[in-house]
Amino acid sequence: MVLLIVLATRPFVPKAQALPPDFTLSVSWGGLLLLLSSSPLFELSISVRQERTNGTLEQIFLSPSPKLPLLLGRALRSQILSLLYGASYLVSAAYLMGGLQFQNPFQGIYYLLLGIPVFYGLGFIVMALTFNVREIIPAVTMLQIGVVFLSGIFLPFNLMPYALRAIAAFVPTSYSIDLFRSAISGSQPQLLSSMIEPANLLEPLLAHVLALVLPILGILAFRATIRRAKHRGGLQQG
Amino acid sequence: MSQRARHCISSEFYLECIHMLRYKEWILAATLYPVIFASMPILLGTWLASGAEEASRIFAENVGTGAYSIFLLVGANMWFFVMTALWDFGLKLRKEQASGVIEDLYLATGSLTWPLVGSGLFSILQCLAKYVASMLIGSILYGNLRYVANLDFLYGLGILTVGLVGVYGISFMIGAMVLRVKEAFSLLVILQMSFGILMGVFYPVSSLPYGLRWISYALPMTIALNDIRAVLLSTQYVIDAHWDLLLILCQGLLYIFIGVVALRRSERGIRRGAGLASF
Repeated sequence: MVLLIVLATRPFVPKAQALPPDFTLSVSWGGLLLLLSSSPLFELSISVRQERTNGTLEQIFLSPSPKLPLLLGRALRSQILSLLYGASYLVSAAYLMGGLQFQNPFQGIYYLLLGIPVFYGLGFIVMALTFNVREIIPAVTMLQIGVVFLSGIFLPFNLMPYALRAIAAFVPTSYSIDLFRSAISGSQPQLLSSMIEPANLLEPLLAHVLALVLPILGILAFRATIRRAKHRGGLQQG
Repeated sequence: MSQRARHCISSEFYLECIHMLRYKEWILAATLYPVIFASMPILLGTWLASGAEEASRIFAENVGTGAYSIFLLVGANMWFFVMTALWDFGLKLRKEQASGVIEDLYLATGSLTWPLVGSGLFSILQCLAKYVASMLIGSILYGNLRYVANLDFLYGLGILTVGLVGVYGISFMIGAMVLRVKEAFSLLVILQMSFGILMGVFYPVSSLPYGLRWISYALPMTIALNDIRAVLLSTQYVIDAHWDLLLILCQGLLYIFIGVVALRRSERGIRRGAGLASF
């Protein structure tokens, strides 16, 4: 993936010139962020759909066992796998781009961990939104691409046009990703800079609020969807 | 071709049509995916070069054409077709295996070749329709409609049709492989990425190292992709227009031949072994 991105963007840079450091930083760490975000954003919705298509969702949801750990367990399996894939991505990125930048490792890891509840919260909301969509893979993929693109996973916010950056400010995952990148590069956060002041305080604050609020909202949305499906008898429909 | 074979092909074709119409979301998604795939490098490149004009100038210096959006759109479409052939067609037999009906199909008196031909024909026509739709949408979106609304586009469509034959040859090989390999998905993901890198979907193959370039040209879609770009954007052919077309055709027939032989061998091996229903 690293090679594909580097080769795809290389024709846009004059031959004698190197790729901008901000860009190489985003690409080298972007793969890890993409893999970490994929499990909650993609796996949760797809696993529910699979159970529904197989006809086993009704049995699971009508049984007295807790449902949330079941779903989280599913996502955890792919989350562990994505961590392994992410590690191999980082190794190849370091090899292809001449090393990895890591200015403030502990702060970086903290913001990365802070992003995980946001990914899961959003994943539950996506699951609730796409519960009644018959062909779920295209819908979830489109949402995932939108989130990946607007969260600045591969593209630093300072390279994004202002209008797009303004939209990105409404995507919850943007904050932890921007803070993670600013920590590992040792630079200032870019998402809200020149948009709202004081951006340096507001961004971490919003990232923490979102990490607390979004999982709760996600679980509530998911429970409401399941309750509605139970009442209307929609659990068994594939 | 016997009347029975024709009936078999048309029935499979009709079945695929019904299946496609049942899941309409896929039609929209499959048309938009190549545009979205291409949009990533288009936007990244535009921002890297600090604007569309500068991006066009630098791209022309490096690649030989300033119409980078069309260059990338064609590449994204070709990659998507290869992915479709790998995932849909290559996995067709695995899906039958997973749903437990493959044994019935193989134990029936008819040959499986004709249903596969019907399915392949449908898939090729579907790819061509999606290519036209997504190129139109993409070129309107990026203001380059003049590259699509001309007769050269039809010639490019002809090259694509010939190129797709080889892709289906590869998918027969994949079909043969997935009947034997238990975890087919990871294999397909690796193949999908390798095709993306080696086919030159987002850059000219000439930017790859010399040795890798030969592997790239040996893949079924690389020369076709290069030539569609040459027709639409006046970039370079591999040899020249006629020789390239002959090469694509020969490659396609060779891949189909190898694919069918591999599939037959695989089927025979499985029938003798553990049985078709187990996977």
